[in-house]
Amino acid sequence: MKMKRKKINLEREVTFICFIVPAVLLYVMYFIVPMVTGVFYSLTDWTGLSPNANFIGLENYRNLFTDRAFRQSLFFNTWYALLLVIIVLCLSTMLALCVNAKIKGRTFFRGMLFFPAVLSMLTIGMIFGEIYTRAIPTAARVLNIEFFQISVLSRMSTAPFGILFVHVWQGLAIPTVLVLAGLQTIPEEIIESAELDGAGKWKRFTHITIPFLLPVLSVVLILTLRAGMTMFDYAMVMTEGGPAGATRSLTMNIYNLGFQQLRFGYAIAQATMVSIILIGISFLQITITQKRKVY
Amino acid sequence: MKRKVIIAALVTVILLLLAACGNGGSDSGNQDATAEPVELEFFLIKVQALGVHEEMQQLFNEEHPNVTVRFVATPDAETALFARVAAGDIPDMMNTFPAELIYRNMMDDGLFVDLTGHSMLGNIQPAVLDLAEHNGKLYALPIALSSYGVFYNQDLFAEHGLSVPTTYADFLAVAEAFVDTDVTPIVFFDRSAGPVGQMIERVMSILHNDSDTLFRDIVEGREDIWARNEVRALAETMLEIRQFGQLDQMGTDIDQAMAEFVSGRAAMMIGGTWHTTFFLDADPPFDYSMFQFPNPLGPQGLPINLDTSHSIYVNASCVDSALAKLEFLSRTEIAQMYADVEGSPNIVNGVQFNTVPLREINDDMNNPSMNVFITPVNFWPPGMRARWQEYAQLLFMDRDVDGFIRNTEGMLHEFYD
Repeated sequence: MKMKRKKINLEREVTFICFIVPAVLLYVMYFIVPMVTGVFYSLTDWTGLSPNANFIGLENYRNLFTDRAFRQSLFFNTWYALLLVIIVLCLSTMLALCVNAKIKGRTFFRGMLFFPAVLSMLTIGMIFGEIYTRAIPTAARVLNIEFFQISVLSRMSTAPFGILFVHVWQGLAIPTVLVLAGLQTIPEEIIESAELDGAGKWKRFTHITIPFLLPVLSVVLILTLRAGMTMFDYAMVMTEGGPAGATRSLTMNIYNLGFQQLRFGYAIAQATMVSIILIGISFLQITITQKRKVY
Repeated sequence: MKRKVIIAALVTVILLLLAACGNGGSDSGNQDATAEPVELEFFLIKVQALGVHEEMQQLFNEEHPNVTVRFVATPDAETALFARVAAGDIPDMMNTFPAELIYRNMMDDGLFVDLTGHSMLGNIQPAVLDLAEHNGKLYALPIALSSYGVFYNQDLFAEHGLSVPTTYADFLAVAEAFVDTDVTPIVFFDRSAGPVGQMIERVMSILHNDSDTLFRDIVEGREDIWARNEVRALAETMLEIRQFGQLDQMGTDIDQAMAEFVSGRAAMMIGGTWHTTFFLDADPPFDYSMFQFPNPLGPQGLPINLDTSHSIYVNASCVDSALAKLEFLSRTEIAQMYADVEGSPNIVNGVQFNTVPLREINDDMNNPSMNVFITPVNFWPPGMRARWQEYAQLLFMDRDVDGFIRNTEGMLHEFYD
C-alpha cells in the first residue's frame, strides 16, 4: 500500500515537473539570461555594433552621477510618475465608485471607460499629436484664445503636461477596472452594519472601502509608477523628447544612448539603475501596504 | 554502406547549393533559369526609393530569375538597422553611408564585403570613390550624392519679382519681401529633432568647412569658442532667419513643413536634396528649385555627402548573387531609372541629371571653381548632433546666444574628451 502511494506521488511529481520545466526554461531563456547578459554588458564599453567589448568595471555606473542628461531625465520621470500615480489613483477610484453605483446604463459606461485601453500607445500619441498641433491651435485662432494658438507641445513648460494628459486618458482604464473589481469584493453586510451604526458616506469610504481596496490600490500604484517611470511611446511620437529635452524620459535617454550615440554598455547601465530604483520603490510600497491592509 | 550513401547524398546537396549560389556572381549577367533559388534581404534606409527598387528588381529578375530580393523599408530605418546589427541579425544587403564614422567602425569590424577592384566600381566617378574609401578599401558602392540648401517656390518668386539670392543679405531681403503677405517666407520644422540637427550641422559646416577640426582644437585648448565667431554666427543666423517663419515653429514637424511648402503656403524651406523625392510626388505639381544656403560670414561653400550607397554583409546568404545585384545597380541605364525617381545627384557614369528642380544645385556641385566639401558630421562623434539639436531647440525658445555657446562648449568636451 505504502509502495503504491509512493509510486503515485512520484508519478505526480514527474507530471508536475514536466509541466513546469518548459515554463522555467522559457523564463530562464527570455528573462534571466538577457538580464544577466545585460548586467555583464553594463560593465563594458560595448557599442552595440562591434562584436568586441572591453570590460571597464563600474565606470558606466560612476558616470551616471555626473551625467546631466541622466539627471534631467530622472528628475522629469520622477515628478511625471508621481503626478501620474496621484491623478490615476484618485480618478480611477472615483470612476470605479461611479460605475459601481446602481445607475442606468452602467454596463455601457463600463465599456466606454475601457475603450482607451484597447488602442495602442503609438496610435493615441499620433492622434493627440495632431489634436495638439493642428486642431486646438486652429480652433484657438478662430476663438481668439491666444494661449492655445501655439501648441502646448511647443513650450517646455506645458509639453510634459500635454503628454501627461494623454497618459492619464489612456492609463485610467485598467486601474478603474481593477478598483471596480476590488469594490465588488467588499462584503455588503459590513457596509450595512456601519450604516446602522451611524457612519456617514465619508467615514464608510475611509474606514471600510479604502482598507479593503489597499491591496488593489497597491497593485495600481506599482503598475502606474512603472508606467510613469518607463514612459516612452507618447514622448517619442508627440515630441521626440523635446522641446529642448523637456520631455526626454529615462527610457528615451536610454534609447538615444543606445541607438544614436552607440553606447550600448552605458545605456544598459542606465536601464539597470532604473530597474533598481523601481524595485526599491515597489518593495518599500508593498511593505507599507502589507501592514495596513484588512485582509 | 547505408552511411556512405547518406554522406554522398549530403555532399551532393551541399555542392549543389554552393553551385546554385555561385551562379549569381557572373559580371556578364545572364544566368541559367534552372539554377537553385536564392533569396536575399535588402535593407533600405532610403525608404522613399522602395518603389523604384522593386521596378529595378523586375529587370534584374529577367537576367537572374532565381534571385529573389526581399526589400525591407521601415520607419526610422537607420535605427532599425543598428538594432539588427546589434542583435546579430544582419541583412544580406543594405544602404550604408560609407563616409560616416559609425559605418567606418562597422567596416573595421569586418561586417562588409570588400568591393575593392571589382569591375562595377569602374562605372562610378573616381573622385567620389575616394570619399567612400576607408583604409584604402571600398566596402560600399556609392550611387548618389546629397547636398543641402534652400528650396524655393519659383512661381511665388516670379509673382513677387524676386531673383535667387546669392548672399546672406539678399536671402534676408527675399524673405522680407514675403512679410505681410499670405505666404510664410520660410517654413520651419523645429519639432522634428533629426531635421533640426541636420540644419544646424549643415549651416555650421557652411560657416566653417571643417568643424570637426575646429571642435577638436576647442576641446584641446588651441582655440577659444568665445573668441571664434562661427558658433555665435550660427546661433545668430538661426534666430535671425526664424523671424521669417510661421507662428508655431516648435509645433511644426518636417511633414507638416513640407506640406506647407508644397501647397504654396510657404515660399522657402531649408532642406536636403533627399526631400525632392517627396516634392516630386506633389499633386498638383509645382515649380520649385534649390539654392545654396548663403554663408553669413562670407565665402560660399557647398556641403555634400555620400547619399545612396549599398554594402553587402560579409556572411550574406549568397555573396555572389549580392555582387551580381550590385553590379546590376551600377549600370548606367539602371542608375538612370533610380536617379529619375529618387532625384538626388547621381554619380554613375553616363547618367543624365533629369531632376529639373535640382539642376542649379547639381551644377554648383559640378562647378570646379565651387568650394564643394564633404559635410564634417561624418567625422563627429556619434550622437553629438542629436545632443546639439536639443541645445538648438532651447536657443529657438530662450534666444540666449551665450547660453547656446556655453552648452555647445560643454557638449564638445563631453563628446570629444
